[in-house]
Amino acid sequence: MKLGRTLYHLIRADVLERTRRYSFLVTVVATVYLGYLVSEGTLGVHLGGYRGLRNSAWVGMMMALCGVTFVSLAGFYVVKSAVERDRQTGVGQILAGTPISKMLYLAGKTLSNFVVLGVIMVVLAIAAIVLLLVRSEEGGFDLGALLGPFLFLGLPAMLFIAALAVFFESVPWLRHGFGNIVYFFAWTALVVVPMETGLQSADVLGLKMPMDRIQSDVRMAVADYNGTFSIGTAGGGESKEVPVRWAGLRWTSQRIGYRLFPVGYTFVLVLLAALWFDRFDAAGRAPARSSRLRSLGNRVGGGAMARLPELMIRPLAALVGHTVFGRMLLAELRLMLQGLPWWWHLVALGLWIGSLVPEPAFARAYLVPCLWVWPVFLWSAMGTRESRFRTDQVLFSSPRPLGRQLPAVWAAGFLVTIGLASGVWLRLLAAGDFSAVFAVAAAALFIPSWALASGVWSGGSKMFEAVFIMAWYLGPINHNPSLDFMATTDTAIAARFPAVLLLIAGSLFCGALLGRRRQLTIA
Amino acid sequence: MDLVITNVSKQYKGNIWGLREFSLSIGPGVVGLLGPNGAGKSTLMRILATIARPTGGTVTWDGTDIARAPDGLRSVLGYLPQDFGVYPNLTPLEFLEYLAAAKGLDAPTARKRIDELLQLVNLFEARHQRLGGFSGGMRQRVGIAQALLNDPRLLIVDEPTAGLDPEERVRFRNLLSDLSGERIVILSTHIVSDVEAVATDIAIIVRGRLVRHAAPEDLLRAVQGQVWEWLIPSSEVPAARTRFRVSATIRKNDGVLVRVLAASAPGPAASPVEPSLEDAYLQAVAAPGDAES
Repeated sequence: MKLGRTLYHLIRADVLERTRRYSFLVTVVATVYLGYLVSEGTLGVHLGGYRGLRNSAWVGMMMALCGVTFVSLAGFYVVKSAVERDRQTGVGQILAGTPISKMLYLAGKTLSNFVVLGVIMVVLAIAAIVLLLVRSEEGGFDLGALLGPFLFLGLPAMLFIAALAVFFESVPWLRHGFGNIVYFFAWTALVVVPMETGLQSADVLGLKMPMDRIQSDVRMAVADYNGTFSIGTAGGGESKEVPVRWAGLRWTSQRIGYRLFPVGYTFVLVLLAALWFDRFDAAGRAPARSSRLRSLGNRVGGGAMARLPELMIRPLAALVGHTVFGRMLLAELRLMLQGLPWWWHLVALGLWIGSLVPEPAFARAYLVPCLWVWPVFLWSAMGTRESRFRTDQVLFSSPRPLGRQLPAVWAAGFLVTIGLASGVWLRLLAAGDFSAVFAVAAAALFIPSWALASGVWSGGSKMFEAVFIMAWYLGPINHNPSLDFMATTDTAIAARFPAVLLLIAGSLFCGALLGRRRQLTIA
Repeated sequence: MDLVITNVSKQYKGNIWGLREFSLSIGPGVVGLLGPNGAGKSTLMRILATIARPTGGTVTWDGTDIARAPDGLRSVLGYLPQDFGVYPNLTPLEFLEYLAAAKGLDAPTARKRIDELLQLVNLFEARHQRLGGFSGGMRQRVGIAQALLNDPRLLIVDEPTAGLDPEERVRFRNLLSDLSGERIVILSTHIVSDVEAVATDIAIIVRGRLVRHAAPEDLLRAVQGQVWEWLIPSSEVPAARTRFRVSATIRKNDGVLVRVLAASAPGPAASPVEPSLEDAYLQAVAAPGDAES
C-alpha cells in the first residue's frame, strides 16, 4: 500500500511538472498536427496503389500504425528527460536520500513517460474519431474496431518506449548525444527485425501483426496487389489510390498474448536500468574531478585570492568596446564542438571523406542526409544552451546580446552545417551544377535557423530533435520532394524548394531574434 | 557616474509585487543591499543588470534610461548572479575567453585580463582543468572573475560569498572594498557581517519597499540606547521572546544572556550595550511602517 502510494506520487509529481511546461503544449500541438496529416492523406498506410476504405477498422488501424511508427521515434526523444530533469533540478539528490529504491524510482519514471506517450495516443485516437466522422466512406461506427489498435498495439508499444527511454537515461554512455544516435538505429531495428525474421516476440511495436493481416486480406480482395505495405507519405497522393474494404483485425487471445511481449520487456528494461542507474551519485558524473584537479584544489582552495594585496587588477575601460563578432563566433563554435567525444569527430571526418568518393549527385542524394543527421544534437543545443547551463543572466547582461551573441550562435551552426557538406558542395561547384550548389547552401542556411528558432521558442532541445528526426526520415531519407529540406532530389530543386527554404530560413532567424528579444524583456 | 532608481515597481502575475515604488540614488562606493528572503533584492539586482524590466518607474545610468538603451550600461557592467552556471566542458580559461568576447573585449586585452583575474582568484594553476570538476567555491571564484572581466563601472554581486570558505569570504570582501573607489558596487546579501565590513551605504528592503537607506554609522546611531543584555533563567527565555525583540542568546553557567532590542530596559538587571549592525537591521526589518513614516 505504502509502495503504491509512493509510486503514485512519483508519477503524479513528474507528470504535473511535465504537463505544466510549455513544451508539453508544443507536444500536444505536434500530435494534433500528426493526426491532421493522417486525416488529410499526407501520411498513411499505403498498399502499392491501394488503400483501405475509410471505415472504423481501417481508420483506427491506420491512425494507430502511423502513431506507433512516428511516436515511437519522436516520442522517445520527447520523454527521454525524466531522470535528467531530476539530475538538473537537484530533486534527484533529495530523492536519493530517501528510502525509495532504484527500481521503484525508475518504475515511476517509466510510468510517467508512459502517461505522456499515452496522452499522445489518446489525442491520435480522438483524431481518428474525428476523421471517421468527417470522411467516412462506409456507414456505421464501430468504436471497438476503431480503438482496438490503440489499446492493443499502441499502448504496449508506448510502455516499452517509455521503459527504453528510462533505460537509456540510466546507462551513462547512452544518456546523452551518443545514446540519441544509437536510438535511431535501435528504432530502425525495432521496425525492420520483426519484418525480416517474422518473430512475433520481436514485434514490440506491433507493426507486423496487422501488416500480415492487411496484406493477406487485400491479396484476397484484389488480384493484382503486389504485396506493398508502407507507412508514411503517399508516393502519388492518396487520391490516386484505389480504396479496398478491410474488415479489421479480430483481437483473439493469441494476438493479445503477443502484445504482452513488450509489457514483459518493459519489466526487464526497468530491471536492467536499475543495475546501471547511479542514484544521482555525483561522483559518477562526467567530467570527473581529475586527480590533478584534486591536488590543485588543495593548493588553489585554501589560499584563495591570497596574493590579492600585491595583485590589484589594472583599470581597463579604455580598451573595452571593440566589435568582436569574429571572436564571439569562434567562441560559440568552440562551445558547440567542445566536449564531443573523439569518435564523433572521427565519424564526421569519415562521412566527409566518404562524400568525396561517389558522384556529386549521388553524394547529395544519399550522403548529405547522413552528414546532416550527425550534428543534430549540436544544432538542438542552439538557443537553449544559455538557459540549460544557467549562463543566461551573465550573457544577457553583456552588451549586444541580440546583435552579437545570437547571430554568432547561428553562424557557428551554419559553419558546422556547411563544413560537413563542404566536400559535396565544392564538387557540385566544380561540376558547374549551380542549382544544386544553391540548394545545398539554402539547406545549410535553413537547418541552423530552424534549430535556433526552435531552441529559443521552445526553451529546450527536445522539440527540434523530435521534429528534425521525423522530418529527416520522411523527407530526405525517403526522397519525398515536399519534405526534402536537405534538397537531395532534383524534383525538389525543380520545384524551387530551395528558394522557399531560404525564405523560411530568413523568417526563422527573425523569429529567433524576436524570441530572444522576448526572453530579454519579459523577465 | 550615478545610478538613479526612481519609483521602480515590478509586478508579477497574480498581483504579486517584487518591488513597489522603490527609489534610490547611488554614487561611487559599496552599497549593501539587505533584506529578508523574498524582500525583492534579487528582483532589484536583475532590473539593474538589465535582464528584467520594471513594470513601473525608471532606472537611469548617467542620465540614460537603462530599459530603453541597455547597451550603454551593459558595456560597463559586471554582474555576478546568485544562481549562475558554467559550461562544464570548458576550462575556466576558455569560459572567461568566451565571456570576454560576449562583453566585447578584444583578444590581447582579454588574454591579459583573464590571466590577471585567474591569478587574482587563485585559479591560474587550474586554468586548463574542466569546470565540470570544480567545487562550488571554485566555480564561485570563476563567477567573480567573469564579473570583473571588463573592469566594470557598475559591479552588481548577488550573494557573492555563497560557497566560499571563511578565508575566501574575507579576501573577497577586501577585494570589493578595494574596487569601490571609482565605481559603484552593489552587494546583495543577507549576511550582515559581509555588508558591515565593506559597505559605505546600506539599503534595507522589506516586502519590495525601501525601508532604510543610510550610512552604517547612522543606522547604528538610530538604535543607540535601545540594545540591552539581560541575564535571565533559561525558563524565562520563551516569555522574553514573546515580550521583546530578542536578537541573540548566549547560554551561561547561571542562566541565559539575552540580547534585547527595546526602547527602555527590559528588566532591572538589564544593562545597555553597544548596538551592532545586526541589531539595526533587525530593528529596521521589524518595523517597516515606522521607517516609511
